[in-house]
Amino acid sequence: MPDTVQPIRFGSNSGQPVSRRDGIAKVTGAATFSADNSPANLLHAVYLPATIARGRVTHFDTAAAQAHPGVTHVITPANRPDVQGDPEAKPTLFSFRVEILQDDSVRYAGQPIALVLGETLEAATEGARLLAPQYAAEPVATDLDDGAPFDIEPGGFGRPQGMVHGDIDAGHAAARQAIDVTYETPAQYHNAMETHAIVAEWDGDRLTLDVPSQALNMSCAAYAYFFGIPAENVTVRSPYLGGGFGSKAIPIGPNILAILAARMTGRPVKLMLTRQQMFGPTGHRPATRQRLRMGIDATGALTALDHESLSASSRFDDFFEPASNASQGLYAAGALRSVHKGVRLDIGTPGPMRAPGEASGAAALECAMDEMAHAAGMDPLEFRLRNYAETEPGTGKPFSSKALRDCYLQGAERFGWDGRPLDPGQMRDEAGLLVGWGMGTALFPCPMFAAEARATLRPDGTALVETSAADMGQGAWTSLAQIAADSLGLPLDKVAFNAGHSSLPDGGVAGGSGHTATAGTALHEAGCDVIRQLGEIAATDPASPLHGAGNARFVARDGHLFIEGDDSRSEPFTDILARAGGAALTGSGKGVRPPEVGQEFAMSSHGAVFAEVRIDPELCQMRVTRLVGAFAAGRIINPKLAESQLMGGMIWGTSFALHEKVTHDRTTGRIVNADLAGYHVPVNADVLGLEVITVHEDDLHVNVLGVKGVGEIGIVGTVGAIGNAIWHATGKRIRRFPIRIEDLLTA
Amino acid sequence: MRYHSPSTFEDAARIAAAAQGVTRFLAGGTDVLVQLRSGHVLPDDLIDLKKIPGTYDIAQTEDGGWRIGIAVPGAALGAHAGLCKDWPGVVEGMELVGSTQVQGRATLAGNLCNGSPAADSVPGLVAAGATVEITGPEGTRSLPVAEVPVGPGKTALTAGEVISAIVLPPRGDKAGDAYLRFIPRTEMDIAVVGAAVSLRLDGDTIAEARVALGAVAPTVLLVAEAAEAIVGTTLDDSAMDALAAAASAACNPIDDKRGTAAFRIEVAGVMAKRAARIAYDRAKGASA
Repeated sequence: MPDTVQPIRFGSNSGQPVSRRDGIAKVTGAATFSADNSPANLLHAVYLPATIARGRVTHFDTAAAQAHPGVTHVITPANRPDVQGDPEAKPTLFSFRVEILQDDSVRYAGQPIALVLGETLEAATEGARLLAPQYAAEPVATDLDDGAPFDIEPGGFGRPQGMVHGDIDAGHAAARQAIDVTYETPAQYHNAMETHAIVAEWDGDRLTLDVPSQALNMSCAAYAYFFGIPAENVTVRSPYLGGGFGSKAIPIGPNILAILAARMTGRPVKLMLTRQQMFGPTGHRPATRQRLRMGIDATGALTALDHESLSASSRFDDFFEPASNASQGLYAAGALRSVHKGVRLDIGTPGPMRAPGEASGAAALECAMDEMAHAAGMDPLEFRLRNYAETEPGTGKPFSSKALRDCYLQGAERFGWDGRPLDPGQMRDEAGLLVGWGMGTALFPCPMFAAEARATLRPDGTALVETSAADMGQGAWTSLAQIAADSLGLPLDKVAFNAGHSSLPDGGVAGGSGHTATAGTALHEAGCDVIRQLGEIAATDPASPLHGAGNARFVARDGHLFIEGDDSRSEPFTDILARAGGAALTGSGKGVRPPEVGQEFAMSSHGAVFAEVRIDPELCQMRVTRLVGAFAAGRIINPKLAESQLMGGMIWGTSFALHEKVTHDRTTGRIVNADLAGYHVPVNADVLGLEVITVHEDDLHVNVLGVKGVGEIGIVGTVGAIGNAIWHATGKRIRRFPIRIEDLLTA
Repeated sequence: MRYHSPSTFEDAARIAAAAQGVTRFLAGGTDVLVQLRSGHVLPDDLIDLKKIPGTYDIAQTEDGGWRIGIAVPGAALGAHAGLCKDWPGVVEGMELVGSTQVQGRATLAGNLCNGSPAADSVPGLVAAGATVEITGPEGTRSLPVAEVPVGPGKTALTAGEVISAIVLPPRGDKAGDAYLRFIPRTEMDIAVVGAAVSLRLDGDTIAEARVALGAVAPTVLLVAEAAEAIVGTTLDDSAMDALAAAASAACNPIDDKRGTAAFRIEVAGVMAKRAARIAYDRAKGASA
């Protein structure tokens, strides 16, 4: 295996800001999301969420629920039919223990404790209300201070590995200046616009599910496990997702209950979570407390970067936010350490939420870097450049590519960073508002999951390309089709794209910012496979102008096959296929990164975010008036979609910095702001200036496409940039997110 | 649940008086229907007032004031030139309630009767000296808006009574009002502090003033001390400081997820000052 791959030619489709192909279907309502499916004879399911966080359910008024007109079944732990899988088991890589009425215990508020089926949604809803559960409640712990911290045993998904590079004690000792600061981030919930939903229908021992899924084939395996059937008996249809952000990669208990109800009744069952239920068994980003100790020498070089994070998880499963991982791989410190600690609380099991680890970890790291820069009397950008890592910190591995310096410089120039006063509280606008500028670095890994794809070239010169993975709303239907069209040498309008169905080649996981890279590579290879076969046919066909091309490479362009480097010899695809009997040609491809590439290179997307805030000095009302983000993420397949996704990430970063937080009632453990009126995200009026720069970056190693990923990185630098801008405006360093007005008034 | 749609307020009052269980009146429905759907309130009798003639009307009264029907939505207030000219503070308070869609339905009477201490339209009405016309089993009576809310979710209306109109006094010359609210987010939020000021000038000097604060106590407050702090002044710095101090001193807020008590107390003073400045400028002829 060569350690570099030949960069593929930039086709006429990749790189174009094509509008999303599913846009019209979405804005006209023609696109069917899972809950839009209503098969005949449908039953509606509504689950009852626990209103305590710890204890037991002692009584249900099942008679009242059962008696309500339209209610057909009431399912509680007392009468729940058996499932074939163990709720405590984890059947796939991305699985958590599920609550499917296995007993009467309550382990967090919002846990499903009963399921009611009805002929109408209204009947089922009323039936669930009439259950009027009684509880034996126990005291709850929902705050990071309520539990005893312990060291996390590393071990795969949800249990992060710490690391040490160099002599951290010596690094601390060598410091001429040092800081020791602690930051906190709150629990946050994904809250995709489309709430979780499922329509389950059995046909004998075959199961069809309309369910939004970021990992269709993996979901099939997980659902099959609980019902004792082979994975191939499960069909998942997920053409569209209204956002997933990590929470729709993992099968949740309510979905399993809906499938069980469908099997029990022999009728299709629909269950759709309410917005309030999205603060329940759907995962969340757990609260963290992060201690950062840094030291620098006389030149401003980091001698030590020591990051310890404490993360909450549930009492019954493991997902700890890998926050201190954010300090691995970014700055060239003399010694590095990241430590992960956990605490168990009466909360639902957390899970991966857009930029897991990096979002919360970088929030703390980038603010601490700002504090260190100020202590050193250095400009924050100068300080980061002083500690720029030319190779991966700790390991010394080369980066597959790293245009972070360009991100810093282009972002700073566009923002107008030059001339920023070092000291805080120096700038005011004409209306008397305090003005502050801050920045943060963004880093996100670019993993590839395995994916497969199929390409079919039809005799009429059009093509169909297929892979199972869903479009999460980010525009995969469009950018993946652009890749496939280039590989097939066809204009985009000749290429149909079929996705979002588990019977198609396994598209892997739309997550980890790796979907375009992974499924795109598979589609590219499938297209290349078709063209290779087409070349073989032409080269051996005496009637073809390409006959006898032998070992020459073929190039596909605009529906024609050319000999590489010889534009005088070509033939339309349709002619080659027609003479060969008029059958379609099918090729297949895989998207997977050879392990040796991962061992040889450090691979990440990078970025730099610059923020301006304006703050009313009397009210301390904070407004983010400008955000400029410059990102290097390898090849950008569709600038329009990629920039939109990066903007979305930066708005999410604004939300993290200033808005999002769940609050638990300390007595019951319930989330008191479990809706979008109480759980705030920015409104349009909160986003005043937002600019994205995609920095050119060629990467010969990440994959044949040179694609890294843009799905999550937008959040990463933004949170710290805003926190730092607030400090720069006010001189007040707030070390708890979200930053609230009263923090500034009282700090 | 029984749904009623009477054609007179007298009938509405009769139905309400005869009702035994939980009763709700329906105007715009932007609170009641949401509470009903979420299961917070399950009325036995729901009395829809929108079918009563005149409830969508805004009419000038004989003395030059305004009579506003109980089904007039916020959007219609904002589109009414005469009302906007006379009482811009009242209108801008109502226009802050909810989104554009909500503005098409939500009413002054509903916002008042919902009884939220943070109701955006109420401080402006209180500062304006508005009254409500109440129809009940015993006939009609008039009550100052300031006396309608008696606690969170509670009003001074007795069983069988229903608000049949909102009445604003005549504005007169050299007068202005303003409402400002504070929310952490830029739009679509519930007031953390609201402040309304209505005043009249004699020359450059404030001759009369009323200051009302929202979201800082169990009910909207009419703060006489705050008004006294600016009457007889031209809103100079010391008057402004006295106004802020009086406004803050009157607050009796709670801590909640939107803001701490200490924060609300501080912000109330600032908002009162800023609202006073706008009302003063409007009284001097600045357009709203």
